[in-house]
Amino acid sequence: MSDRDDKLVKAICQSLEQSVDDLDRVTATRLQRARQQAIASRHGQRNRWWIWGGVPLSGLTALLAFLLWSTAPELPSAVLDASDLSILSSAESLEFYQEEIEFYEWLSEVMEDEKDLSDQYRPVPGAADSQRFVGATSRAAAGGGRIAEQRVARISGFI
Amino acid sequence: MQTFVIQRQFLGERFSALPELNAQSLEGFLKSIERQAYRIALFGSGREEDAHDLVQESMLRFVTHYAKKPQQERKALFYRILHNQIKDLHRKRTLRERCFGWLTAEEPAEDPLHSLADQNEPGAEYALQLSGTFAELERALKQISFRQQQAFLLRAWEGLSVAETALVMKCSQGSVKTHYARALEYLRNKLGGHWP
Repeated sequence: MSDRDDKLVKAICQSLEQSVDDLDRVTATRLQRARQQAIASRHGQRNRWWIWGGVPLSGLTALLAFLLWSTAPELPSAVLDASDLSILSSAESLEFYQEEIEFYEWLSEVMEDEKDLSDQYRPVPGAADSQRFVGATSRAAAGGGRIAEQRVARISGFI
Repeated sequence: MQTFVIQRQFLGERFSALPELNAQSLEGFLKSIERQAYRIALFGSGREEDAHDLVQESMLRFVTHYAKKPQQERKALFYRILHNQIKDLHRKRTLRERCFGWLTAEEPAEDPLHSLADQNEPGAEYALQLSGTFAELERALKQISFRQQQAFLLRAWEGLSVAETALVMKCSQGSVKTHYARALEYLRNKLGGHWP
């Protein structure tokens, strides 16, 4: 670039510098306001991050907790059935019941049926002998019940 | 909730660890450049209100995206934002004129500060002299193309290098040199004889 161009460029730059130094107060004030607003907006961005960054994080945490809670497996009831109690209180080991549990369930049903039949023994109808037969009936029912109990005890002992 | 509190404490410490000097230097940078930026925006837009909007928007974007950049990169980055804002303004104006050119443009509301008398304005004679010299320069700069104008102002006045100016204008360094040479040639022909 020639000396003439250098001088021209310097003169232009000086004129431009003078123009910005002599800016009117209104324009200078507006520029100052714009600068302060820009700096202030940066602080506002930081605060907004705290708020808007935490909201989705909290929501995600709550959703995760809800999903975990809703899909948790149900614990078995602590209340035991009567059959469970008899098994647990029995002197036999648990493996004993696991292997032949179906057979014993059938057997207990059979014994219950026999006991019911013994309890339901009906006397031969007759007015004169009704008293005698009442006692006989009760004795027979008791005997039938004893027979069923003996059978149960025998089978339990055999087993 | 506890996780959020912990993260907030961690990030709060992290942000509070930023030196106060950084915030001061950022404001200092903007203060050192705002008047020149306004003048360049005024050359590019041709209207004072648009120039104020351009500078304000550029400052906001700079603070948002480039506040943590090194000191030596800030000037080029700021002018790149300003350059893009001016180009967007030109596009909007072109589109508006094509679509709504038949409508009368509404005058923007006047800032109440404009109506206040400035007690510190220079004397009328000095203002006339200054306005005459600068007005002639202003007219000349407005007659060249936007790219030639930007290349000349950024290189000659703001002192940006060819590479930095190419970054601002998003063109090659050769293009920057071409635009600058053409701008200087026009100004030499327009002002060289009798100016200032």
